[in-house]
Amino acid sequence: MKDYEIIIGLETHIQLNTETKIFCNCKADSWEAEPNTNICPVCTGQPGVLPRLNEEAVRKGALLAAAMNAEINPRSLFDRKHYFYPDLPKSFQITQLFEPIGKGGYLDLHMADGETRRVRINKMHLEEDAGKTKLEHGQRMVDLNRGGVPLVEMVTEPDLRSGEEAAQYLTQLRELLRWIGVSEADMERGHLRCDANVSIREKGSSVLNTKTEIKNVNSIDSVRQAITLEAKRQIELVEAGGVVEPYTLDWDADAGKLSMMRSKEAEADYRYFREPDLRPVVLSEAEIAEIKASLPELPYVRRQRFVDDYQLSAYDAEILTSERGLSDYFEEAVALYGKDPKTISNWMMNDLIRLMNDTGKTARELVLQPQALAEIVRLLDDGKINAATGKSLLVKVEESGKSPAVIVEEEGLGLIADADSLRTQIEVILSGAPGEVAAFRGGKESLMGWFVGQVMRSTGGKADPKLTREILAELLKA
Amino acid sequence: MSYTKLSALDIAQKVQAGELKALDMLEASLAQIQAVDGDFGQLDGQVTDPNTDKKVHAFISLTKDLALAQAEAVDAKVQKGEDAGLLAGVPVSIKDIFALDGTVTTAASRMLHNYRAPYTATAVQKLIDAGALIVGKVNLDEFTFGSSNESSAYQPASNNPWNTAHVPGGSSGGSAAAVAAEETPLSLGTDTGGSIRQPAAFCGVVGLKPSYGRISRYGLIAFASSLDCPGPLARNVPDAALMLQVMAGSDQRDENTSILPVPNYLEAIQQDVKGLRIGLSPDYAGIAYPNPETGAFEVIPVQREVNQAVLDAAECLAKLGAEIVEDVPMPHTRYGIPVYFVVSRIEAASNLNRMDGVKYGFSVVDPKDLQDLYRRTRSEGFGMQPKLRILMGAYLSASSKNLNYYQLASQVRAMVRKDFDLAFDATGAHRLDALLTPTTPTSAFKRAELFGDSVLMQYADQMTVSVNHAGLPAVTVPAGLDDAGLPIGIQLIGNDFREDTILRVANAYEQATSDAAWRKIRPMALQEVK
Amino acid sequence: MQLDKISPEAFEKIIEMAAFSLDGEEKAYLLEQLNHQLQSVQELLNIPLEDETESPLARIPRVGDQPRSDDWQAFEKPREIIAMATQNEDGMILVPEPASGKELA
Repeated sequence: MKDYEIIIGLETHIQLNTETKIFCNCKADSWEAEPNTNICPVCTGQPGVLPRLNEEAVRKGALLAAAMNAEINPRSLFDRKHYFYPDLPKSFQITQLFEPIGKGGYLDLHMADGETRRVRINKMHLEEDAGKTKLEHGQRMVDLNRGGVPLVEMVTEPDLRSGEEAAQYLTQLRELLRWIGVSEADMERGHLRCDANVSIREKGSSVLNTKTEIKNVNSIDSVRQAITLEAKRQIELVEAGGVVEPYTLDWDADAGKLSMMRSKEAEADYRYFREPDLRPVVLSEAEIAEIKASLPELPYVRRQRFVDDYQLSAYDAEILTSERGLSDYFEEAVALYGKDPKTISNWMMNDLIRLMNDTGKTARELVLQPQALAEIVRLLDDGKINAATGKSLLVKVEESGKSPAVIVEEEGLGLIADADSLRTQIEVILSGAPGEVAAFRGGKESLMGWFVGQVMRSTGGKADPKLTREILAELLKA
Repeated sequence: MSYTKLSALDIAQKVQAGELKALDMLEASLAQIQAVDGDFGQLDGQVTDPNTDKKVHAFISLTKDLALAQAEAVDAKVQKGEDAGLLAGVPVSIKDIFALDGTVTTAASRMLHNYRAPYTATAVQKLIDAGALIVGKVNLDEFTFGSSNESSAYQPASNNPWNTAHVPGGSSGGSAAAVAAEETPLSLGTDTGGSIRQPAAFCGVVGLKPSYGRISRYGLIAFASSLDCPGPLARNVPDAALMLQVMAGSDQRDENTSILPVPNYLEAIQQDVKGLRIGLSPDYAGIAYPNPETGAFEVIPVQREVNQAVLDAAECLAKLGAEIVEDVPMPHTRYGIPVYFVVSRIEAASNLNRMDGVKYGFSVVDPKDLQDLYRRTRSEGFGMQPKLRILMGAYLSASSKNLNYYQLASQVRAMVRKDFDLAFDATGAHRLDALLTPTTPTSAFKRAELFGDSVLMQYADQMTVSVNHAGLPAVTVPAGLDDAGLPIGIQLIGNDFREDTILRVANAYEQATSDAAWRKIRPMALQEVK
Repeated sequence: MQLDKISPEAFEKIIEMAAFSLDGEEKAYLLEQLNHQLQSVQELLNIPLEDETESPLARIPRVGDQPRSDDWQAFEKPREIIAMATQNEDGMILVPEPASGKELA
């Protein structure tokens, strides 16, 4: 059995999260809408209508190009791509073939084993989405709500080498899209769609062999599974003396199976030519500079910086940068706290994230913001409250909106740190437990825990533990 | 005097002054239509009128209810002493290629025989907002493809009111005929390769193709997106200027409209032409037609009377103080048609892709499957002229070529434009304010004379088509009748967005020839009416 | 450079691209006209091209020099649009299936 290499290229369609469609003022997001209600003469291709380009689609497209290390094209053009299908109202799609918004670019894939694979981008351009069709009771129906939504089509070079890498790529891409705010990238809602091109070759060869195209692999798992399965099929086929045909395959996620959709016929003739109804998309040097400057620190860079600057573990850094708002929150909290960042990270990893899950909010949506978190931790540090109180304060702040200090005051949650009053209380307790006192003095040192427990019970948990032990030790000395 | 003889300017003035009711004006227009138009063009039209050959057949449909409501609104405004608009009470006909909410827009095709646009074209809306009365939709070549109106699926197609055995020209044949036959003083047409100017010349009326982007194309069912221009047809220059005034301007819905300010055309046309430089070009003396055998260009000179009309006009303008500049070279004029074949066909085929029987319009009954729906719908819905253009466009834009025809044609198009750049360059050799040329090589041809020969028919547009390639404005004005009594037009081509200049020259010429004998002769179709 | 005439076979492909189905008489007339028109188009290939290729339309300031703002505006009568479809039901446009799973170019 020869040693084979799997060659994969991914084609993704990314739905931009602009307010409106790319060429008309209908909504870009109509997931909740009744069919054929989010439409207008322009996006339904009525005779006589004209497209009008959305500036946000341009900006987000350019921002994505910058995030992908691509060159932002200062003068991009639109073209018409012709074919007939019921979900394409004009029977041509307005896309960018000759002069796209982004040129070149790459995504550095950071693998689990520490390796980096550079996945180069072959093309990146703006285009309009088609509507949807569905088959119901044997009748095909067309819904044009989605027609005209802005998309960025991004195609990689065949640089990926396994289903796992492909899954990684999609995961990183999805994270990036959300991070820079150009797409919600929810694969279940079709914000990020993927087709995979798969071929094999003997290790050491540099030839590109016939590839198959797997369409509509629309979850990270599907990508991994489908590609792995297809690669296996191709290898088995070739090993058995067969030849890989350039089929287009459909992935059935439920059955975990690939089936042939159609044999890839001669490329359809799309009759591309420049879209005469749209002007060139011109971005000045200043505008391009502004877009580049607006790019935030990207996830991987930030992750690395958290490890370097804050001495976080890779795992912790990963969790804290899983969402941009969360990572911003962390940094703010650390700055406000002023002491060991790991303390903040522990609090966030355990308690804050739980709070987020319980309330269903993102870090930035919480009432409890970095200021309050830092305050709680400092209260604990200063011995003003105990750990249990600290944890409960998270919820109390979230629900009341009041600052931690105010809540501690109002609800009397502060630790009893007044040595005199505590001493008095402890003396009362000891006087009520002469037997245990004698036993302790007689050598049963383990009873210290019991005494501490008694003090905690009588003070409702608010006695400062350290001070309690000190006083007890003192008083219990014979 | 019948109100239908009034100019648009006069009508608007009288209506606004309360001297003429918009309702009465509408009635007069409808009566004239009744008298001269005969059977309207219909799909699978049955001709009932024995005198049909003498009738104009400009119309496909009337929009009477709409016009009535508009007239009532205008009269109400006037009653209240309010401004009823620049076109208050003026009847206007619309080439049936514009979307008008509440009406059917057929494009003179079976494909859109039942199409009700859910919106209104910007140009039409501007007319309505200015108080115009939209009387009805006039006939055209199917989807504006043609130069004679004969290709309309709505028969009988329009006749030339001057001699109803002749074509009115096209594609805005219905518009030109309606205006010439005094059915409406104004008509909204479109010009892609000469489709306003040629029929205007054939029918002895004024026709203006504005600069590309001067008037919005939103709502105009597209033929060639980079060439199409909506524009006015009228019986005199001031009326054309008035209609242009109302429609000109930028539109947020059309990226190609210009944001350049709109001048006051009515004021501009009053100026004299002293010192204006008006050019004549030997390259417009005839049609350069490639010999099908040898491939070499042969020049077919324009009709004698046409050539004379241009020379007479030059002389007239010289007398008015203009400077005539002869021998202005326009060497790339001959490539206008080949470029047109490529650019317009590729764009047209593309624009018509959307007609597929799914969303609107004609659709075959009981299609076997999706492909059957598409093929039979498009084959039965489109006539020969659309089929021809679509096939040519599909062929030329197919990628199996080693050549990008669209790009090549665009490059040659730039060379056609350059001829004009050099002619109009203020620091150049000629420094023209306008170029004076024939509008068409001949007067109106007979029905069926050219129909079927697509190349010869197209080459007849050589005098007008380069203007579309260059995006420039041009106006045609009546300049006499030929020996057969058919109208001749002369064309004035201007620089970018200088409609004011060419209208000024046209107006001066019109004023100077106002007493000409030929202006007293009435079209044949009007002589039938008392 | 000489342009080849369109052969009947090539013509069939164009007809398919244009989504037509034509009878013999129509095909004959159309093909003849197309080839005649191609002779005219032929001219373009023989013209020595000049360097300047800027479109004449690019010099005028136009609305599209600035893309539009990203503001939602609902169209008032979406139902009217759907009502124009020959086959429509409950707000959906109905279409037949492609022939035997084949997808159209």
